[in-house]
Amino acid sequence: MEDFEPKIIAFLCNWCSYAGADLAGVSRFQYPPNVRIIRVPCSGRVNPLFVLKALYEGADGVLVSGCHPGDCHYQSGNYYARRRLEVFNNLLNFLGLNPARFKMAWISASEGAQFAQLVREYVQEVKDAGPNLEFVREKADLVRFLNEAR
Amino acid sequence: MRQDDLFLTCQKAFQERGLDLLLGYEKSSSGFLRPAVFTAPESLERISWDPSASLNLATYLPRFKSKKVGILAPGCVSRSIIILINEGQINREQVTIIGVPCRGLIEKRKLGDLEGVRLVEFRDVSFVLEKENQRRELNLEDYLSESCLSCAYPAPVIYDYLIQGPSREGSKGFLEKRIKDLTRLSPEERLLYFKREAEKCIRCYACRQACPMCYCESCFVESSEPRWLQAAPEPVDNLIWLLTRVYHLAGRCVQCGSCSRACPEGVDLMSLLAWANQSVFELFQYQPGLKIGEKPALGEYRLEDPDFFWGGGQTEGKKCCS
Amino acid sequence: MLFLKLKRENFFQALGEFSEYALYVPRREGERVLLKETSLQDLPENLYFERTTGSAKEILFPQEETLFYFKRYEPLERPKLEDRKKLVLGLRPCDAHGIQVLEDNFLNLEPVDVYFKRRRENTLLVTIACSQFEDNCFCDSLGLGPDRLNGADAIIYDLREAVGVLSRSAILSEKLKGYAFQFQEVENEDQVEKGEVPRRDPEQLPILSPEEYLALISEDKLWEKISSPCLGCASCTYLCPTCYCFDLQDVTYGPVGKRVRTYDSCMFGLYTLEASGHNPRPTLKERWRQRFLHKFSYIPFLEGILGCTGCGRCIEVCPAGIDLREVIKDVAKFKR
Repeated sequence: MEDFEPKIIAFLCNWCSYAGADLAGVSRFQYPPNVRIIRVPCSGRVNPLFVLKALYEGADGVLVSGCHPGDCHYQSGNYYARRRLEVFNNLLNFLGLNPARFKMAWISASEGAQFAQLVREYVQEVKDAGPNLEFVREKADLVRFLNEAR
Repeated sequence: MRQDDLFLTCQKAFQERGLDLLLGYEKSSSGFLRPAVFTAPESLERISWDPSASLNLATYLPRFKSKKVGILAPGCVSRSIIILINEGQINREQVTIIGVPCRGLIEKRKLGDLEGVRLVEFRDVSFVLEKENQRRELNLEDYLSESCLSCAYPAPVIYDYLIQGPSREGSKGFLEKRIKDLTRLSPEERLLYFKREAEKCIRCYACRQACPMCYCESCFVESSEPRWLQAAPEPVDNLIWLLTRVYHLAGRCVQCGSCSRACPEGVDLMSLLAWANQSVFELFQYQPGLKIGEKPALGEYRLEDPDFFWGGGQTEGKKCCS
Repeated sequence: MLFLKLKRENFFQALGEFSEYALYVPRREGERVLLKETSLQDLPENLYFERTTGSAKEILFPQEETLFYFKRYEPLERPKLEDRKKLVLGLRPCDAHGIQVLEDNFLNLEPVDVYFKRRRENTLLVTIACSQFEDNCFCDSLGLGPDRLNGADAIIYDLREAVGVLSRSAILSEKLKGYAFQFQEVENEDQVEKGEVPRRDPEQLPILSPEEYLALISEDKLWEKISSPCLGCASCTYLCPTCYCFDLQDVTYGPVGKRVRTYDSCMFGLYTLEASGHNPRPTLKERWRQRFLHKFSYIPFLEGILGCTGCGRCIEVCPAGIDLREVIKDVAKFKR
């Protein structure tokens, strides 16, 4: 368990959060490398099925981050995202999924330090929650086939 | 409610409104009602309405986009019609709503072994079944669908004609209690419960077809690029199917129970749907299907919406209801 | 065919000869009755089993089946075939009729379905003549009956202190001979003693010839009326003993993958959707018409047997209350 390195998929909006993550990089803020970033034009582009698909394919955690409400490059995309993802998050909690599996955040383009802080916190949360075994697709037979073919 | 009232009103509607067809129910050979499309006033002698109806008739409306359609509507169906109008699927002018009183609908599963059973009649608070020449009188309340036990709007909220008769009293208790019981479990226990329900699913999509709100010409399960879930009824894939359909209905579901009654395997859909609706109500004070002209909850926003995002100013640190 | 009579205790003893076969019987699990593996000791003495919720096809043609595995750049792995021997006891004659239709489809046409073939070869299907009619079942209204052998390997008749077994499987006949107090070769299944088979005065449903049904194909009003309550779910097709449509999907994981076969349904809009976007069966009217003609016209024409077993599962499960018996009557009434 100590050496469990979670795989976290992050959907970051192009104009704010992705830029913020980039700023964290050039400013040399340290944060764990467990996050794999997918750039989307706006947090409103995020279909909750993205979150389910990521978990289904084996992600241990999914992060969605966008511009702060009021600052959306497309005016209102993040307002819709806020409504959708909060209802979706509620539904996942009711289902019994570990709350650590899904995180929603607002990170602006200038918030490099905050992005690093967010990732540090979230990676630890997912580490504490352990690997995602409860919402991942059944692929034991394929894994076996892959290994024996070698 | 009187059957002849129903017959006469439907005939009137046909004539006065120039209907092409009327969506209603007729008795099947076992005495239980089943949906029927009446295309001529003469055929209306078969029309009937009682607590043995099962499907939400509004699910047939999007098929008749260009026609003038009449439809029998208790509370839930009338709300479904409002949502279909709000979402641009039908026009108010083309649909003639014949409001009917509703005492609740029977959950056939609760009747147990239905072999050879014939429904004889409904009385004030009971109904009579016959099997092998023996008659049994049962208390209606004990056999109602979960959705009906938690129905807040049994009487139609909108109508062009109204049939007189007693309706149930609106209440919310049953599913609210079920949700409270489920939230008292630990997350792991809850997930196990829903996974076991998902394992029952055979992916027949009867729930989707029975739901008036599921009118998408191409459902997300049919998407092959990207493919969100397998066609095979694997446990996690089934869970994705159930969860996503419920999510697509959040703030659009009137909790009619049509899906739950259509399910051949008895999967517990109502708990998830009730929670989704409760969520939308608690977060945005929105209830679907009560006003024409309203936009769906997830299709609009307010600047002051509650904010549970990390880095959000307002309600930072608070975890969403669990 | 061999007709044997065994004392009840001897019959159970005889079943012990099939130790290399896994024994499957219908067992109730909550709301459903499924075929479950069981042991000899747990068999009911009266050999009464509830009818399964799904049909017998699930044991030979399951809802999910992996056909083969593949790895990128490598030659294809040979198909994985199910080698496990199974003895399925307790199905009904209607299930066996369904198996006949499936066999005609999977085995008698080229290419032969190797998966179904291997399962069929390794499975002994022993049905039991019905002791009562199910709700909504109507095999006798179609000229079929609750005591027919149909596509089973053997059928068991309740002869009070004894059981009668009509067998057309060499394996079964050989093993059962040793325990029978009487056996003889028979040509015709109607020659054998069947005990008390339930009889009723069934409404004879008017079944037309395949050509007469086909002549109704352009009667739009008829098919519109029949299909109007249909929701287009797949409940009837999944539970139908003679439905065999399937879909193929590849599931991958990096450089490896597998091809999975699952049930498909002609009631789905996607079933006939072509890559161009054109759908030759755009509405439920066309799809219902196809389903009906397939069972009552095309299968009888191609295979000489009715494509419907009269089990009534579709009537039981349909959320819109469509009754196939009424449809059969409506269609016949429409015939000029």
